[in-house]
Amino acid sequence: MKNNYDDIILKYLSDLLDENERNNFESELEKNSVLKNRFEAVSKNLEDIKQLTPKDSDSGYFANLLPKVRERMDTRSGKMISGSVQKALGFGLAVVLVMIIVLQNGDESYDFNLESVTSLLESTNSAELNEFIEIRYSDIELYYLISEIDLENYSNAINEQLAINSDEFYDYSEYSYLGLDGISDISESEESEIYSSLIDKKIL
Amino acid sequence: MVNNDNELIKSFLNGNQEAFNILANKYKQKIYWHTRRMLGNHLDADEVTQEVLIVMYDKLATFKFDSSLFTWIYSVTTRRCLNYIKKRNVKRFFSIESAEISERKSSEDIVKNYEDKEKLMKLDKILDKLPAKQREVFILRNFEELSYEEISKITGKSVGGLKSNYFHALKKITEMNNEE
Repeated sequence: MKNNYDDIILKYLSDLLDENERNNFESELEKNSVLKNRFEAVSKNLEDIKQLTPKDSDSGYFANLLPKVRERMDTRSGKMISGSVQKALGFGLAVVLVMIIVLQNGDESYDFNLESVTSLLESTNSAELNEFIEIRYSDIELYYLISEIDLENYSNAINEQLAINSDEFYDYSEYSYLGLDGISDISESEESEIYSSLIDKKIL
Repeated sequence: MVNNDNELIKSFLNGNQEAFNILANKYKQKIYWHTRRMLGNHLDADEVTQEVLIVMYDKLATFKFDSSLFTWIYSVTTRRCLNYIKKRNVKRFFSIESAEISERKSSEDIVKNYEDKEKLMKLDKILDKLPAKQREVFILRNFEELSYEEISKITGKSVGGLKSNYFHALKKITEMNNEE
């Protein structure tokens, strides 16, 4: 059951009251037993949540954690990708974005290549695209990527935002721990590689 | 033997691998439990914990010694968690995650006894109701007992914004409790 004092209690606990309000609350707390009881109940609820921490866990997991990390670091050298493939992966991200737009329009026969992707992004109405993304993907990183792109200069934006900005791409990539930097031109074979990669991962 | 964080970092950057092991062993449980609370299951927490330790190994050279290592590690960890949640939302939206993986996520855990499992399930149920940014500040304040100023250094957000997020987190939690 909602209590009338909840808001002021929670503001007090969140340190949202100014000094005057805080003093008033504390003096009211001393003389108002209803407020005091409610304050103690809310505080106890939060304290109970804090106690929801396991007392015992598998010590073997923590003992093996560092060796697992070392093993992963040792094997990643075999997965290092070239600067040009980084751009291919950036382009792949653009492909995924276009795929979202294409699928939204029901065109399953769309031919994905650098020219067609760029062309579609350029011709897409920016207001519609923003609205679409805000509605459908409000909580995903793509929104943040798209919102930073100048929609009237999409061909440049693909390179500058999706491919060259390795920091943002860093968080997307399955190779995120590989330390991405350095970009060069994408070849047809690398384009194929990224398509295959996306298909293998069931993204496309 | 050196045990001060800054000395250990310098020693590691000079090539002493054992110094990194000491740092990793010192913080691995804190990293794990923070990611575990943020992500709500062991498999995701394990993945992000390993990633954070790898980032530590790779990027400690960029540590500027003007904040504590603890703050730096929590910055990396919270950023990784938030990004992981976004990626996970994308996977869920496109139904990329298989039923088998979902099943494993709900069954595999490092907590073995019944009482602790119950506790974690109850906690996950509460935290799952909070948006990621409210969950972040609630965990850092309630479990790590950090001040808003410390959380601000970790998250890069303003103290005012953090207070507001914390208030809304408390409001949701209190409402959930009232409904029970």
